[in-house]
Amino acid sequence: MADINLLPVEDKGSEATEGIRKKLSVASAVVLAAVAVFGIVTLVMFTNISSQRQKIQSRIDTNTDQINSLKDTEAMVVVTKDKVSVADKVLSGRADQVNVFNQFAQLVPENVYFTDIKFIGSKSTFSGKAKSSADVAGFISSLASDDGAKIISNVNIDSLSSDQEGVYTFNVSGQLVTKASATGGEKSS
Amino acid sequence: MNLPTITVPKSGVNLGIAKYLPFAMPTVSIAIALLVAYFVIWPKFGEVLSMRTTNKQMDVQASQLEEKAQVLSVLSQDKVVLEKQLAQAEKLLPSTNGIFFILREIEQAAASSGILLEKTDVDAKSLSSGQAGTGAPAPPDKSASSVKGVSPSVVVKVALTGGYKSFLQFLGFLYNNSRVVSVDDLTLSSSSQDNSSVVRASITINAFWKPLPKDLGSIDKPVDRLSDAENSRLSAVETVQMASPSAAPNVSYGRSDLFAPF
Repeated sequence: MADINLLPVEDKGSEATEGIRKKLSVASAVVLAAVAVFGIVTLVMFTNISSQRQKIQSRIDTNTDQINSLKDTEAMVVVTKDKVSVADKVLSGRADQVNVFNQFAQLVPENVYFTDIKFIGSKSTFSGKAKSSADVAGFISSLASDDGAKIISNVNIDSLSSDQEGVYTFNVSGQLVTKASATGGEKSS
Repeated sequence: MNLPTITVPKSGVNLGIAKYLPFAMPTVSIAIALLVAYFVIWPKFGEVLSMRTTNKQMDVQASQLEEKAQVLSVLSQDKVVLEKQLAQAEKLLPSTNGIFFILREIEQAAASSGILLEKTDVDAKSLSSGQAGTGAPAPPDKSASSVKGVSPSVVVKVALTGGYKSFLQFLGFLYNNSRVVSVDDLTLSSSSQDNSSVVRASITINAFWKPLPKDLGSIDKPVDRLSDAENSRLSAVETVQMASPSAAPNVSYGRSDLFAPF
């Protein structure tokens, strides 16, 4: 008698199973469709990007060939640029002693003369004699003036002595102003 | 009478397996779809994304190459101008050290300015090394010239005697020559023997040179054109007439006694 009562429970179970099966079927269809769409989109993108790459590659190849055919021109341009930029750097940075001497001569009082002038790198030293202390002072003040600062900076009196006739022997050092440092100074000011 | 009780469990087991069979098809199809998506489509999608990035880079490279090709094709139309500029640049900075030409220029400058050239001493190290007059890297020196080390140079030490104005003329000739030189160390002292304005000078001349580049760099490296300042440097060379650095100076040849003094 107990077995007879099982039948309605089985029916209910099969209905539930059928419902789950249907849902699963729908889910599988959705997943399949999504994967298919994803696959197709990927394929389309791949095709597009591949064709783009081919076009870009052909542009690169064409231009590379053209550049290779103009190698001589490029070599001339590169060498010229290379040399001129270095030359420009040297010419801008070197100390122009002729100009320094010419400008310096304007700053020296009449009663001052030199026995020794040295430019070692950018350091300069001036040894000389002056008729009086006023001449030495005039010389130093002209070096420290705006005109003097254009050619010599950091002026320093290394030695100063006079003999019994009142003639002063002096030794002055300073830093030579190059065109490059002068331009830098102008820019910074 | 006991038979029904035996058959019921058997039919129950069959019913259990059959119950799961309808789920197999959708489950397997989902699993296969996910596997395909994960192992096939997703890697391909990643590849597509990386290809897109690469394409952007390639596009930039292609544009650079196009620009370079255009610049070069425009420049190649004026080959005469380019050759002239190259010759001028070669005068500014020869590709070899050109020691004999700088010596010749020093001699000519001395002769033109009326100054006596007492001694000329070429720094052998600067001849042998490709670097700017220094075999080993020198310690930083505050007083050193700012142009040292910019390019290889031949170092020539010269001792001179002459008038102060002649000396200035000599320096002027040196600086006005096409070849790029710098005077680093200069010592000028008055001659103590008499009251004349004769000065003794010793100077160190750096004559710069620049070897030709071994390669032109990568193909997509853009072409650097000359700036206005550089163009004016080159046009300044144009006005100066000098012998080509590649030609040797003219001398007479032939000697019967190899040990007879001249």
